[in-house]
Amino acid sequence: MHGFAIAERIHETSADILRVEEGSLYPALHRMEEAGWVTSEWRASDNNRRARYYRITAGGRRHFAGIESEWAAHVKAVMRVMRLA
Amino acid sequence: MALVSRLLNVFRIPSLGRDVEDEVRFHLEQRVQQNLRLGMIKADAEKDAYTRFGSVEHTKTRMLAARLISSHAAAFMVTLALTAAGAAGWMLMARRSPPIYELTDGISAPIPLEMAKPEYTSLAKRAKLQGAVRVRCVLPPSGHCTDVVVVRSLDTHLGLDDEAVRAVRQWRFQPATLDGSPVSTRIDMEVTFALR
Repeated sequence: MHGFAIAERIHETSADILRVEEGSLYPALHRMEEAGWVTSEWRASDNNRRARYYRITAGGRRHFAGIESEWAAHVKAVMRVMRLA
Repeated sequence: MALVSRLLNVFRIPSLGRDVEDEVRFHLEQRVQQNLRLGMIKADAEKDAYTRFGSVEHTKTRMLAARLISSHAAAFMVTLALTAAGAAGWMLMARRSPPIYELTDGISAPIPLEMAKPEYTSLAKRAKLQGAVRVRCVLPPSGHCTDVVVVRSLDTHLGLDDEAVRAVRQWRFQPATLDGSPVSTRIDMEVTFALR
Protein backbone atom coordinates (compact mmCIF):
# COMPACT_ATOMS: atom_id res chain seq x y z
CA MET A 1 0.00 0.00 0.00
CA HIS A 2 1.41 3.45 -0.77
CA GLY A 3 1.40 6.30 1.72
CA PHE A 4 -1.60 8.02 0.20
CA ALA A 5 -3.66 4.82 0.40
CA ILE A 6 -2.57 4.35 4.03
CA ALA A 7 -3.68 7.92 4.85
CA GLU A 8 -7.03 7.26 3.19
CA ARG A 9 -7.44 3.98 5.06
CA ILE A 10 -6.81 5.73 8.39
CA HIS A 11 -9.44 8.37 7.58
CA GLU A 12 -11.97 5.75 6.50
CA THR A 13 -11.53 3.22 9.29
CA SER A 14 -11.58 5.92 11.97
CA ALA A 15 -14.73 7.43 10.37
CA ASP A 16 -12.77 10.69 9.98
CA ILE A 17 -12.20 10.99 13.71
CA LEU A 18 -8.45 10.66 13.41
CA ARG A 19 -7.35 13.68 11.45
CA VAL A 20 -3.62 14.08 11.43
CA GLU A 21 -1.56 16.08 9.00
CA GLU A 22 -1.01 13.67 6.16
CA GLY A 23 2.63 14.69 5.87
CA SER A 24 3.42 13.37 9.35
CA LEU A 25 2.67 9.85 8.13
CA TYR A 26 5.83 9.71 6.03
CA PRO A 27 8.57 10.35 8.61
CA ALA A 28 6.77 7.75 10.76
CA LEU A 29 6.79 5.19 7.91
CA HIS A 30 10.47 5.86 7.25
CA ARG A 31 11.37 5.39 10.91
CA MET A 32 9.32 2.18 10.98
CA GLU A 33 11.24 0.92 7.97
CA GLU A 34 14.58 1.78 9.59
CA ALA A 35 13.38 -0.18 12.65
CA GLY A 36 12.51 -3.16 10.43
CA TRP A 37 8.76 -3.10 11.08
CA VAL A 38 7.83 -2.36 7.47
CA THR A 39 9.60 -2.75 4.13
CA SER A 40 9.07 -0.69 1.02
CA GLU A 41 9.62 -0.93 -2.71
CA TRP A 42 9.13 1.41 -5.63
CA ARG A 43 6.51 0.24 -8.14
CA ALA A 44 4.27 1.71 -10.78
CA SER A 45 0.97 2.83 -9.27
CA ASP A 46 -2.49 2.18 -10.74
CA ASN A 47 -2.20 5.38 -12.74
CA ASN A 48 1.32 4.36 -13.78
CA ARG A 49 3.25 6.74 -11.57
CA ARG A 50 6.38 5.84 -9.60
CA ALA A 51 5.14 5.16 -6.07
CA ARG A 52 6.60 3.70 -2.91
CA TYR A 53 4.64 0.73 -1.55
CA TYR A 54 4.91 -0.34 2.07
CA ARG A 55 4.35 -3.77 3.56
CA ILE A 56 4.41 -4.86 7.20
CA THR A 57 7.07 -7.41 8.20
CA ALA A 58 6.67 -10.39 10.54
CA GLY A 59 8.71 -8.47 13.15
CA GLY A 60 6.42 -5.49 12.63
CA ARG A 61 3.32 -7.62 13.28
CA ARG A 62 4.82 -8.92 16.51
CA HIS A 63 5.76 -5.40 17.59
CA PHE A 64 2.31 -3.96 16.87
CA ALA A 65 0.59 -6.86 18.65
CA GLY A 66 2.59 -5.87 21.73
CA ILE A 67 1.69 -2.22 21.35
CA GLU A 68 -1.96 -3.08 20.82
CA SER A 69 -2.27 -4.92 24.11
CA GLU A 70 -0.41 -2.13 25.93
CA TRP A 71 -2.76 0.41 24.40
CA ALA A 72 -5.85 -1.64 25.32
CA ALA A 73 -4.65 -1.86 28.93
CA HIS A 74 -4.07 1.91 28.93
CA VAL A 75 -7.56 2.67 27.61
CA LYS A 76 -9.13 0.31 30.16
CA ALA A 77 -7.26 2.05 32.97
CA VAL A 78 -8.42 5.49 31.78
CA MET A 79 -12.02 4.26 31.53
CA ARG A 80 -11.90 2.91 35.10
CA VAL A 81 -10.59 6.25 36.39
CA MET A 82 -13.30 8.13 34.49
CA ARG A 83 -16.04 6.00 36.00
CA LEU A 84 -14.72 6.65 39.49
CA ALA A 85 -14.50 10.41 38.93
CA MET B 1 32.76 2.59 11.72
CA ALA B 2 32.02 6.27 12.03
CA LEU B 3 33.87 6.90 8.79
CA VAL B 4 32.08 4.07 7.02
CA SER B 5 28.64 5.25 8.07
CA ARG B 6 29.55 8.80 7.16
CA LEU B 7 30.62 7.71 3.69
CA LEU B 8 27.45 5.68 3.37
CA ASN B 9 25.43 8.73 4.26
CA VAL B 10 27.20 10.81 1.67
CA PHE B 11 26.56 8.22 -1.03
CA ARG B 12 22.96 7.70 -0.01
CA ILE B 13 22.06 11.38 -0.14
CA PRO B 14 21.31 12.00 -3.83
CA SER B 15 18.92 9.06 -4.30
CA LEU B 16 17.42 9.61 -0.85
CA GLY B 17 16.64 13.21 -1.70
CA ARG B 18 14.98 12.20 -4.96
CA ASP B 19 12.98 9.41 -3.33
CA VAL B 20 11.67 11.75 -0.64
CA GLU B 21 10.81 14.33 -3.26
CA ASP B 22 8.98 11.76 -5.44
CA GLU B 23 7.07 10.25 -2.54
CA VAL B 24 5.77 13.62 -1.32
CA ARG B 25 4.90 14.74 -4.85
CA PHE B 26 3.03 11.49 -5.50
CA HIS B 27 0.94 12.00 -2.38
CA LEU B 28 0.05 15.60 -3.23
CA GLU B 29 -0.85 14.66 -6.81
CA GLN B 30 -3.09 11.83 -5.65
CA ARG B 31 -4.89 14.17 -3.27
CA VAL B 32 -5.35 16.82 -5.97
CA GLN B 33 -6.73 14.24 -8.40
CA GLN B 34 -9.14 12.91 -5.82
CA ASN B 35 -10.28 16.44 -4.96
CA LEU B 36 -10.89 17.10 -8.66
CA ARG B 37 -12.98 13.93 -8.86
CA LEU B 38 -15.00 15.24 -5.91
CA GLY B 39 -15.81 18.30 -7.97
CA MET B 40 -13.37 20.90 -6.62
CA ILE B 41 -11.91 23.48 -8.97
CA LYS B 42 -8.15 23.10 -9.55
CA ALA B 43 -7.04 25.96 -7.28
CA ASP B 44 -9.13 24.66 -4.36
CA ALA B 45 -8.01 21.07 -5.00
CA GLU B 46 -4.36 22.10 -4.75
CA LYS B 47 -4.87 24.32 -1.74
CA ASP B 48 -6.67 21.55 0.12
CA ALA B 49 -3.92 19.04 -0.73
CA TYR B 50 -1.26 21.29 0.80
CA THR B 51 -3.38 22.15 3.83
CA ARG B 52 -4.03 18.50 4.61
CA PHE B 53 -0.40 17.58 4.10
CA GLY B 54 1.07 20.20 6.44
CA SER B 55 4.51 21.72 5.97
CA VAL B 56 6.13 20.06 2.95
CA GLU B 57 9.66 21.22 3.76
CA HIS B 58 9.42 20.16 7.38
CA THR B 59 8.11 16.75 6.37
CA LYS B 60 10.91 16.22 3.85
CA THR B 61 13.52 17.14 6.44
CA ARG B 62 12.06 14.68 8.94
CA MET B 63 11.89 11.96 6.29
CA LEU B 64 15.55 12.48 5.48
CA ALA B 65 16.50 12.54 9.13
CA ALA B 66 14.71 9.21 9.64
CA ARG B 67 16.79 7.67 6.85
CA LEU B 68 20.15 9.16 7.65
CA ILE B 69 20.27 7.86 11.15
CA SER B 70 21.27 4.26 11.26
CA SER B 71 21.45 2.32 14.46
CA HIS B 72 24.24 0.35 16.03
CA ALA B 73 24.75 -0.69 19.65
CA ALA B 74 23.37 2.59 20.89
CA ALA B 75 20.51 3.46 18.64
CA PHE B 76 19.70 7.08 18.39
CA MET B 77 17.27 9.18 16.54
CA VAL B 78 17.39 12.74 15.54
CA THR B 79 14.44 14.87 14.87
CA LEU B 80 14.79 18.23 13.31
CA ALA B 81 12.10 20.14 15.03
CA LEU B 82 10.52 23.30 13.88
CA THR B 83 11.27 26.11 16.23
CA ALA B 84 7.59 27.06 16.19
CA ALA B 85 7.98 30.70 15.43
CA GLY B 86 4.41 31.36 16.37
CA ALA B 87 2.03 32.66 13.73
CA ALA B 88 2.47 32.95 10.01
CA GLY B 89 5.56 34.10 8.21
CA TRP B 90 9.17 34.12 9.26
CA MET B 91 10.52 36.38 11.93
CA LEU B 92 13.64 38.43 11.90
CA MET B 93 15.47 37.39 14.99
CA ALA B 94 18.75 39.14 15.35
CA ARG B 95 19.74 42.75 15.29
CA ARG B 96 23.14 42.09 13.81
CA SER B 97 23.55 41.24 10.17
CA PRO B 98 23.22 38.83 8.49
CA PRO B 99 19.75 38.13 9.86
CA ILE B 100 18.87 34.82 11.47
CA TYR B 101 15.50 33.49 10.45
CA GLU B 102 13.13 31.18 12.22
CA LEU B 103 12.24 28.05 10.31
CA THR B 104 8.72 28.48 9.01
CA ASP B 105 6.97 27.98 5.73
CA GLY B 106 8.48 30.93 3.89
CA ILE B 107 11.86 29.25 4.28
CA SER B 108 12.91 25.93 2.80
CA ALA B 109 14.19 23.76 5.63
CA PRO B 110 17.86 22.84 5.90
CA ILE B 111 18.63 19.28 4.82
CA PRO B 112 21.00 17.17 6.89
CA LEU B 113 23.86 15.87 4.73
CA GLU B 114 26.26 14.29 7.18
CA MET B 115 25.40 13.37 10.72
CA ALA B 116 28.11 12.03 12.97
CA LYS B 117 26.69 9.53 15.41
CA PRO B 118 26.67 10.71 19.04
CA GLU B 119 28.32 8.05 21.16
CA TYR B 120 27.10 6.83 24.48
CA THR B 121 29.57 7.56 27.25
CA SER B 122 30.49 4.40 29.15
CA LEU B 123 29.08 5.87 32.38
CA ALA B 124 25.74 6.72 30.76
CA LYS B 125 25.57 3.27 29.20
CA ARG B 126 26.29 1.63 32.56
CA ALA B 127 23.58 3.81 34.16
CA LYS B 128 21.22 2.70 31.34
CA LEU B 129 20.37 6.33 30.76
CA GLN B 130 18.00 7.00 27.86
CA GLY B 131 16.14 10.01 26.56
CA ALA B 132 16.50 13.12 24.45
CA VAL B 133 18.69 16.20 24.55
CA ARG B 134 17.19 19.21 22.82
CA VAL B 135 19.77 21.51 21.33
CA ARG B 136 19.41 24.82 19.53
CA CYS B 137 21.87 26.27 17.10
CA VAL B 138 22.32 28.83 14.40
CA LEU B 139 22.80 27.28 10.98
CA PRO B 140 24.59 29.74 8.67
CA PRO B 141 24.98 29.21 4.90
CA SER B 142 28.26 27.36 5.61
CA GLY B 143 26.11 24.40 6.72
CA HIS B 144 27.85 23.89 10.08
CA CYS B 145 26.05 24.73 13.32
CA THR B 146 27.32 27.57 15.47
CA ASP B 147 26.17 28.83 18.88
CA VAL B 148 25.05 25.35 19.91
CA VAL B 149 23.22 25.38 23.24
CA VAL B 150 21.31 22.75 25.19
CA VAL B 151 17.72 23.90 25.67
CA ARG B 152 16.46 20.74 27.34
CA SER B 153 19.03 18.77 29.24
CA LEU B 154 19.04 15.01 29.64
CA ASP B 155 22.19 14.50 31.62
CA THR B 156 24.83 16.93 32.80
CA HIS B 157 26.78 14.40 34.90
CA LEU B 158 27.43 11.40 32.70
CA GLY B 159 28.25 13.27 29.51
CA LEU B 160 25.24 12.83 27.22
CA ASP B 161 24.47 16.58 26.98
CA ASP B 162 28.07 17.23 25.97
CA GLU B 163 28.01 14.32 23.55
CA ALA B 164 24.88 15.66 21.84
CA VAL B 165 26.49 19.09 21.43
CA ARG B 166 29.74 17.57 20.18
CA ALA B 167 27.90 15.51 17.56
CA VAL B 168 25.73 18.40 16.38
CA ARG B 169 28.81 20.59 15.88
CA GLN B 170 30.15 18.01 13.41
CA TRP B 171 26.99 17.74 11.36
CA ARG B 172 26.79 19.25 7.92
CA PHE B 173 23.61 20.62 6.38
CA GLN B 174 22.45 22.01 3.12
CA PRO B 175 21.47 25.44 4.47
CA ALA B 176 17.94 26.81 4.53
CA THR B 177 17.00 29.05 1.65
CA LEU B 178 14.74 32.05 1.26
CA ASP B 179 13.73 32.85 -2.30
CA GLY B 180 16.52 30.56 -3.48
CA SER B 181 19.34 32.20 -1.50
CA PRO B 182 20.97 30.47 1.47
CA VAL B 183 20.18 32.15 4.78
CA SER B 184 21.00 31.64 8.44
CA THR B 185 18.30 29.91 10.48
CA ARG B 186 17.87 29.02 14.10
CA ILE B 187 17.00 25.35 14.43
CA ASP B 188 16.14 23.01 17.26
CA MET B 189 17.15 19.39 17.13
CA GLU B 190 16.43 16.50 19.37
CA VAL B 191 19.23 14.00 19.85
CA THR B 192 17.74 10.86 21.33
CA PHE B 193 19.81 8.28 23.13
CA ALA B 194 18.29 4.85 23.35
CA LEU B 195 19.87 1.55 24.35
CA ARG B 196 19.01 -1.48 22.28
